[in-house]
Amino acid sequence: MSKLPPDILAQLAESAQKFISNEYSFTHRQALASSTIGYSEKHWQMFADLAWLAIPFNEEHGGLGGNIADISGLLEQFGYGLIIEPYISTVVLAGHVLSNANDSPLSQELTAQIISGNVHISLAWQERQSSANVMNIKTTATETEDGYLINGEKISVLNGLNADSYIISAQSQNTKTPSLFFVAADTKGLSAQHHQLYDGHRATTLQLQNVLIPKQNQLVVNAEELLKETMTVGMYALCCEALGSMEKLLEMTIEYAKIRKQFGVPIASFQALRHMISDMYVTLKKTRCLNEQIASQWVHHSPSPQDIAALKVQTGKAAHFISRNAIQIHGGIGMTNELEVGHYVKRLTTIDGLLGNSQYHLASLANSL
Amino acid sequence: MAPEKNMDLGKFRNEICDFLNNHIPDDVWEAVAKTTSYFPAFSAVMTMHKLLATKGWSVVNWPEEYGGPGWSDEQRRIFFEEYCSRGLPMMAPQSVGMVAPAIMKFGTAEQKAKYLPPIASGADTWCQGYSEPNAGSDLVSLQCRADSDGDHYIINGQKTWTTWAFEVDHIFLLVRTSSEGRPQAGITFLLIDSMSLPGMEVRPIIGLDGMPEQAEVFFDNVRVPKTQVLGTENQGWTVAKYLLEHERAAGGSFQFVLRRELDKLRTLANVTDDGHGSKISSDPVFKQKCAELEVDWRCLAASENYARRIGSNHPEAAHMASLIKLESMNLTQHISELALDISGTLALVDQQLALHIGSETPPIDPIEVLTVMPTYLNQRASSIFGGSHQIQRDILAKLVISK
Repeated sequence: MSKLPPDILAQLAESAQKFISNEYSFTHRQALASSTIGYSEKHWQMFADLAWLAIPFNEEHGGLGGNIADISGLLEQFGYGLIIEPYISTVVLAGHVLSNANDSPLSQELTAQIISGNVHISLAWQERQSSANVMNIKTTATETEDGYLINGEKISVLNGLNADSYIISAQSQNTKTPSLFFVAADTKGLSAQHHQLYDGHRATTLQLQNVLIPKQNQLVVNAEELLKETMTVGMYALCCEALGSMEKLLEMTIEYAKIRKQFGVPIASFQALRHMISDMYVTLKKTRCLNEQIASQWVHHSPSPQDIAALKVQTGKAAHFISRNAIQIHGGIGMTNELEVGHYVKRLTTIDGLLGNSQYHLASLANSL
Repeated sequence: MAPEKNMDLGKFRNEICDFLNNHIPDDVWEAVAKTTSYFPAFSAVMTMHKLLATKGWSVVNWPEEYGGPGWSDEQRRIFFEEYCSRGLPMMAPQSVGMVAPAIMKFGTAEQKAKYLPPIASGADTWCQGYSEPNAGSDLVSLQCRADSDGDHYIINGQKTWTTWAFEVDHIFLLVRTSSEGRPQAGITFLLIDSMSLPGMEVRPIIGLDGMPEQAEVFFDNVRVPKTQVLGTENQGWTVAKYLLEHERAAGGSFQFVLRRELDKLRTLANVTDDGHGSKISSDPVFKQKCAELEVDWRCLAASENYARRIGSNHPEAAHMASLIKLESMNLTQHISELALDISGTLALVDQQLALHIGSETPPIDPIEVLTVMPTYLNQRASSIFGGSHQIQRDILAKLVISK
């Protein structure tokens, strides 16, 4: 449930809508996606000025004091407008870790930097063998006299291309539990291979070979709970973004079915297509209901692992169902790179793939019942 | 009964296998490994076409009088089984399986002599000028016009979703030559000998996977002699329908192609970690989905075998053509969906550069994920092209309900 007062939330929603209709044409989005850095620094500064980057942080650290439910509306707008700026990686994932890290001068400084829009920080949790199991960590951190020595590999680090620094999960060799470490991007021994994803977003594979960092860069010890909670928060954020993208796909599909004529009539008059559209609506609406129910109960404690897994499964299934039907109803034109439809489909397909797809979470759910 | 019980068929199979195992160039195998579409790389298709032509195997479904090898049904089945199960690229259907049968059925002796031998050898390649921006499922409403001007037509209009238009050198075209009577009555089928006549323009369409496969073809006062009509003027719909039946019934070998895809899916599952110390191949959710696809595959194989047994003149032949289009494309899509479901996040990386044949960009490890996402995206078209799923169901409903 929201922590922010309704008037603040309304302002945020209004500013998000304005931003999308005034600043975010599809052509502009595509130009940003294929630019060198893959997003707009100008937009990012606007996000800071509009306080979007401050929402989930505590007031004593310069934040608005909101929670995850307070960014759900913004994220849904981002999905609707197909926003490519790396909000989830910097503000939601890295932000959540920093908000809950030891209250050190370092984490306070980093929080302030995120809020002002001056830095990007990426959480590097995933490994080649880990699938979406955040506790499956082979990267090691060995304590030495000079600090910690980190070795390992991280994959699919979101927005790694623009990250000034990374938060890296590693097995502490002393405690045999995972810890989280702050590693500046230019640290010796760290090498990055940057990729573009099919949806235009960026992800990085990191190699860490004897990366030496000072002791105060250990942000969290015994990070199991925080890592799991960060996954929950990140999954929820992705699910909110997906709602907006699915809404837009459904709108575009209905609009197209009304104007596209075959056999002398709009194709929206064919019963077969009307039923497909009804099913798309039903799928979206029940997914939204599930999403909102989970958010409304998010007061004192995070959703249960079963609840969040169910939401991610349902959102992934809905994303695929709505994507596939949107293309089918558009026909050939829906298969082109020129039309927006395919790019919403690619974003939704990617959203399903991130932080564990519906297949992964269905298996976890099955094992937990 | 296993065909190998017959010694001649056993020997026949050995000859096919020997050739396919030992004489395929590396760039074709590279194209096989990098195929992400119903249509493989055009260069590999034509390399194989020319190679098979040297053995007389490029047009195995053609009657002997036009250059077919004169094989029995059983020999053809063995050939397709061995060929498709290796994932090798099928001959371009627009040339071999569409325009050629139409020319055999409706062409003059001159047209047959002019067009069929170069199709068989691989010297000539064709694309299909049917769909238009406003005539997709409703093909008969097509507007591309051919106006009479002495012994020529002047063509004006646009075609779209023309697969490989930027690769081939010929196009067969449905044009409107009359607006009298029913819309079907004013359509003419034209054979065009070039893709670069004055007034013609081809613009590739980039697909969701970032690759050009289809194109738009524009006609601005393009002059074509009237001798290029296949069949007769205003009777093109008869030719078009005949050809569409061939398009739907093409190959009859999805079972072999999809058998290979299912096996690839298992390989992918064997190399993909489930995150809990095992491989996805032992994951119960995957196993159940995979078992369901196995059942679907068996039904498809049995349906194809039945369709082949009853032949094309049986009253159920049209039912089976639509059924096989629906079921083969459903299975194709479902395999690509499950592949995506079990792939890790590395499958989300756009690796277009590594996908080009002869590319110097190495694929990221593991190589099995290279084709997963582009295949998933590309296969969304399987339920749209060649008569969408909705059109196939309409055809079936008409056949089944009116019985």
